[in-house]
Amino acid sequence: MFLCLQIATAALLAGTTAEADPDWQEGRLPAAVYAGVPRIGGTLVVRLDQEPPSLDKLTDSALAIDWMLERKVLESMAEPDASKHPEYPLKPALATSWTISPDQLTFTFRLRRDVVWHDGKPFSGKDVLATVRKILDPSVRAMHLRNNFVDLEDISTAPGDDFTVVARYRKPYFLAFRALATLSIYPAHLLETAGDMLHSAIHRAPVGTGPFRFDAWKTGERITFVRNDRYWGRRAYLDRIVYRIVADPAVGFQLLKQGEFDLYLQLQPQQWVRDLDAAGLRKAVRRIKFYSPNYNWIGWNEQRPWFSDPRVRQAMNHAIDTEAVRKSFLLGLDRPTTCHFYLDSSACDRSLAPRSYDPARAAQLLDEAGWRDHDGDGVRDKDGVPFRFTFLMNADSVFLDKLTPYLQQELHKLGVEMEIRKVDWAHFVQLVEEHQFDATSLRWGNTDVVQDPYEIWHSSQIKDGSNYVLFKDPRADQLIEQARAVLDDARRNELYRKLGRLLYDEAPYTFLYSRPSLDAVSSRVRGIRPSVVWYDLQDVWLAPP
Amino acid sequence: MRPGVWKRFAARRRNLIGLGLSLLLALLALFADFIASDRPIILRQAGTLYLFPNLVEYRALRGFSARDLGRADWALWPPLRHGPYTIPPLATLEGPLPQPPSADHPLGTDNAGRDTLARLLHGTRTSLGVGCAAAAAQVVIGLALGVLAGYLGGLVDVAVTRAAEVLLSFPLLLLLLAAQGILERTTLMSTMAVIALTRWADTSRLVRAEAMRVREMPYVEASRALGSSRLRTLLVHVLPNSLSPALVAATFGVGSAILLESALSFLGFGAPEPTASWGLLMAHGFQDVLDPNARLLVLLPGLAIFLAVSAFNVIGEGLRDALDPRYQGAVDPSVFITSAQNRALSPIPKPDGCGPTPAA
Repeated sequence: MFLCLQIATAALLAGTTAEADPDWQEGRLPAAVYAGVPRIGGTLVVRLDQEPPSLDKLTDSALAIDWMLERKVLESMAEPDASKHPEYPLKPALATSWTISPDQLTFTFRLRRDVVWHDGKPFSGKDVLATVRKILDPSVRAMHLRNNFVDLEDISTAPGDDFTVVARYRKPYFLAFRALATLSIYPAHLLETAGDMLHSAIHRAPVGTGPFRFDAWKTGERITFVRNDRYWGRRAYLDRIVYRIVADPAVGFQLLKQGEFDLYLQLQPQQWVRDLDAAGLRKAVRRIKFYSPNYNWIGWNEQRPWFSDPRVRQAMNHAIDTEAVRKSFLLGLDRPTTCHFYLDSSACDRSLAPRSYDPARAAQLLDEAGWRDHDGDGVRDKDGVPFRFTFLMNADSVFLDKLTPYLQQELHKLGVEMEIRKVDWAHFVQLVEEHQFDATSLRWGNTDVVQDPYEIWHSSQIKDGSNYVLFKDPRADQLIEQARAVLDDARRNELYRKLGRLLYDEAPYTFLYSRPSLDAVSSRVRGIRPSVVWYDLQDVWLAPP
Repeated sequence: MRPGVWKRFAARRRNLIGLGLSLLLALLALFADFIASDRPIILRQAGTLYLFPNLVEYRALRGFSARDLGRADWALWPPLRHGPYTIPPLATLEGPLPQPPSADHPLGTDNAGRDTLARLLHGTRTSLGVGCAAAAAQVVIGLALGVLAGYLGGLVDVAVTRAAEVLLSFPLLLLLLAAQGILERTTLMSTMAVIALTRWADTSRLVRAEAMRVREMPYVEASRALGSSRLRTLLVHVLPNSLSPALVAATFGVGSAILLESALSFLGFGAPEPTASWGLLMAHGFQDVLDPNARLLVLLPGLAIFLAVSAFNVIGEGLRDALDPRYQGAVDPSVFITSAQNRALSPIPKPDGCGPTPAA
């Protein structure tokens, strides 16, 4: 499991909301989408807003790679059942069954014997072993996957049986089984010669076992997959999937109007709220609104003098009218959150309400923390340090472009001066990873419902992990470590709710909102289902015109 | 300035329009606080008279709002009662941002809820300020280096010319972006400095050529023969007589600096928030370009940039022509012939035809 950085973008303007059509209003797909007898054939054209760096899950963790490859091109031994939201239990895929030893340390998978790779070679347990070994190979850029296998003691096939895989762990870890079971398997015969993956053919042209196989990648334009007719399971209905890369939202929307897309990903909020209706597309497309696990936050660097005191961080939180921001800047589509997990997960403590907008309380907290205007220059100070900090932001962020001037003004009223520094995305990521910021804002996203807060909140993750704000709390460390070994969901979530309360009080982040994915799908598309693990396009078919 | 230059400049109506427009913009820039501000010009509150709260930040008025005015209090307000930075309380906003034009906001708001007209007006100050300061700085640097290179020649010339060539060989915007990117944070000062430090090469080339010509003039030789020091010759004779191209470069420089500042701010590497800058305003509008209300945010600053840059370029062209009668073409055959005869000697013939006249 891993977390992805997403560029926080949003745009503006609520629109006229017309007559009651609850499905359209809520962005739900009507039952008609799942009715009828599937028809074979046709091409599904999908709009992608960013070209992925590669088509290699081992070296890159862009969300678009997961969307295009997982369960469509590459398969795992088990896969989350997308029809069972929000639990997503595992169901068999390349493995027909599995057993977990009572001590939860040994996992045994029995694999299918009728699977062939897209290039015709047979599949076996050797492919699983080769994939895990590739991830453990330090010369491969697979840190995001390697974290899950640090406690793996041994993985092998059963003696004389290449179709039984046995994995043994040193200590119990709640994600160990799920991480191994849902790992996308690569072909051993191609991994052998792939080296660090970066210069191998499968870096851009993956070979898998899934219902679709890679066809072509025209850089900057489109990536194409075609149906795998030798698929072991039920064959896909679509002949072909074309991902067209159109970065500019205005251009993309024009193409959508002209009927160029069957599935349009990432509409801008005002496009979703108003423009689809205004363009008369209510008949031609269906709106989809779906909350996948993600939240955006403002992080306060705890090693900067201003933000070392939790009272100051709480004061910052009280200075923002998050509800008004949500309505004015985000058209009310985002949901407020105080949780570092999937909003609907029972790991979240729902009794923690977002801190209210309360400038008086903020001023009081700042006073208590010792930040007063001692020298009378209108700016609070403490020990000779004026409260004057810089907010680092990614220059492309539409939302932050609105939020930061607002925050600047609110803080100015409190006697706190904030400067805004905009840098381009690559530079931004580098600065954040090196903790070179006073305050910044980002969004965390995930493609599974189960998640380990270790990477973001454990103090050991300050150096190479994602603990960018330098949060260091022995109580949090202990809760996180303890939870890792708890395999019972209810008991683990109890620990996570405790962690949530701790984070709420310590306020290393100001938690903001969870953003829905705003997509549109042509009304001829059937069988499509939004889920945390994105869309299962192998179930999708096209109604005759 | 030499006699007759103004006459030639004023002979073209286009030049006068340009001059008038730039003066108008300059006035708007100077008095922006008296046209658009959320603080009164004069305020009497609780028995105290405050002069120009729109310019001076009185500590007692921190958090002042018009609703605080008591019965005995009065205030003289600017015509537009919105400052360029004020974001109204979000809870009071009606409808989404940016807002369309209304009675309260004649040109609507930007997408943070700030008044567009106020930001445009105050943006004039940013644009003209950066434009003039950057142009002045680039001309001073270019003039100094150009005159030295042209007059002294030799190693100094080689060094200055090569440095200028290196600067000119970079794509301009890329160079500016790189320079701004290196800085920890960009401010208006850094934007000005970066523009001046990369643009002096244009001026220095022109001035150098002029100084090389002036160096060979008989009056310079005469000055040297009379025993003037090199410094005196440089300052009294060469520098004043090499000024004309610098003057023209300066006017063009203002236009180009305004354009560059807007471009940098548009890309997010110029004026920092919350500075009112045309480029920044345009960037805000561009993010929501599908929104009809946002189109005004793109259009209006674009128009302002167009007007300002055109005004200064017209003045620049007018000055260039006025300083060099050859550009006036064959309007007056005698002028044409005079200049043709003088071409080998001087691109700017002296109207009175006699020896060196130090520029007034």
